[in-house]
Amino acid sequence: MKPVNNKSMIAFLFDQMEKLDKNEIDVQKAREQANLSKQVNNAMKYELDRAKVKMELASHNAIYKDGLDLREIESKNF
Amino acid sequence: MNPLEIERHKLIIEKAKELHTVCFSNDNETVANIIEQSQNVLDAYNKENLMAVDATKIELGKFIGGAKKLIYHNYIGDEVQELNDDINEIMSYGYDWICESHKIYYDEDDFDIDVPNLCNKCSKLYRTIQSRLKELCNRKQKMYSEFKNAVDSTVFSQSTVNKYILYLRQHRPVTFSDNSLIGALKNAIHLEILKEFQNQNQKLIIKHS
Repeated sequence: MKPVNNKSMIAFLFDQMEKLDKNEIDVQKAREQANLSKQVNNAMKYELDRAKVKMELASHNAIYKDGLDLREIESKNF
Repeated sequence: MNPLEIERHKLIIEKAKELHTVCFSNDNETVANIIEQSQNVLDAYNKENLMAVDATKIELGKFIGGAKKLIYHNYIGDEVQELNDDINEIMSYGYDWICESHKIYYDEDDFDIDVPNLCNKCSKLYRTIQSRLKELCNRKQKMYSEFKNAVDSTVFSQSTVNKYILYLRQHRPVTFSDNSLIGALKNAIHLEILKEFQNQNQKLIIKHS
């Protein structure tokens, strides 16, 4: 499986649109690719929100001398 | 293709467009061909490198406008909505407590207030409501202004700006399937813009979270 970041996702989607324009992929495949991409976008949005919460926690901890932390729910290696 | 060649093609298009407006009708086709050839070169380069080397001022303005709208919605949308709700509530029901004698009716429900002749009680309440309205509007204005300045001073990467402009240039197909690809592309680019803004404006975001 190829690692994906947001930039590579965007490049992939532009590529798919071009392929669709040239009829190199059919509408069904384009739809499925778009649906999968939406799931990747959701995961990336989650990462963005997580980064925001970590920022807020760091600020909170600095002000209130607290040790709140965001639980790592995906730290287990498979 | 080197940057000099790109600049040359951009210049050719610019000058040829000027010429197109003044040339004789029998030269129209020749000038149009020159424009088309250079435009094709730039389009091919843009497509291959996911760039927008020929971005216009209007497109750059659309990027900033789009980024502002997206960032406002994402980071202060809820807060603005709450303020708007408070303002609307005051505007809708805020003057019902005023004595009937101070209301100047236009029709059954629509009335204005006879401010100079308000009694002491109404006058006090009126001033309180007015200052509350002013405070809410100022808070909203201040929030927008802070975020506007933040967006203006954020350095968005050239790659993100280019991709947004390329997205704007995509034709808008009518079928649902094509649109779903466009939708996914739009979301991915929006995430990129938000990521860059969030990285550079942490303090402001924490302040309003």
